[in-house]
Amino acid sequence: MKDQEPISKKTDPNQWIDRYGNLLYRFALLRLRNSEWAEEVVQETFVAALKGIRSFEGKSSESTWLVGILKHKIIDWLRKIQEQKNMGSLEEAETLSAEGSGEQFNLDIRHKNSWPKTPERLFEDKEFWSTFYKCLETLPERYRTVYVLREVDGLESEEICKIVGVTKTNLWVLLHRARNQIRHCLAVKWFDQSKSN
Amino acid sequence: MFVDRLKCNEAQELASLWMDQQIPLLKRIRLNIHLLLCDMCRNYVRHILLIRQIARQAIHKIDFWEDSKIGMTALAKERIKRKLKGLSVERGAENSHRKDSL
Repeated sequence: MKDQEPISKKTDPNQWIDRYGNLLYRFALLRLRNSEWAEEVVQETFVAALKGIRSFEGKSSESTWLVGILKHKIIDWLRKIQEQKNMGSLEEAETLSAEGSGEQFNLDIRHKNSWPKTPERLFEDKEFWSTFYKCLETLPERYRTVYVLREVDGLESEEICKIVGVTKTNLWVLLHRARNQIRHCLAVKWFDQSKSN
Repeated sequence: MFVDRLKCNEAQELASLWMDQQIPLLKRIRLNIHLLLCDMCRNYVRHILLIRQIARQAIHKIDFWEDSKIGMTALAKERIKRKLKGLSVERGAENSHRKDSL
């Protein structure tokens, strides 16, 4: 009998868009940087969720379940874009060298005492998160994509290489430059102003 | 065995690489020697590891992203609602058809 229930009792699709639409949209927008694409993957996510609604057992929250589906949709979308661009490694290497090394961000941060030893106190600071996201936005598109996949989503390097179509060496270069820029940005906009102390 | 001391930019590149993959033993030794002797690069490593801890929390803090105030357009929300409604009706019809044929 349970299998024939039209809709899971643990979740109500009629409420999804109002409850989670914006959250999922932000999540997608941060990773895709294109509002139309973000809306598209959110729609795909809700459709997939509705089709697989019986698999939702209520063990995690609705939002966690939906974000889990969205993550896969975003990865599929990034792969699709990559296929369309059909970027070869030669073109990629040329772009990487032309974009500048980002090394100017490496050596100029000496304010060791202004950075906290542990991050916990920052986690509840709205102003800090706003700064963090502003710093993410300053990254060039490709830096941001790989940085978010690796450092925010915690995907393994091999997986990211497949998704965005870069070699391991170029991924490492992109990540290193992105880390330097984020560090520099957070130093200038937050830690050097001793906001964490 | 004589081990060349890394330059700061090399040490920082290697430290960043180590966050993503294993590096050979000799390189790890060279990096650790450099870090023992260089305050600036020790700070570098501390900072990028700290930022990683921060970044891993970002998923839960997306509401504090200023761009997020914009949100989805009402039009898009309506479109998705219609799509889901249509899908629910289709699925309902499929279910009742299945029941009838049983």
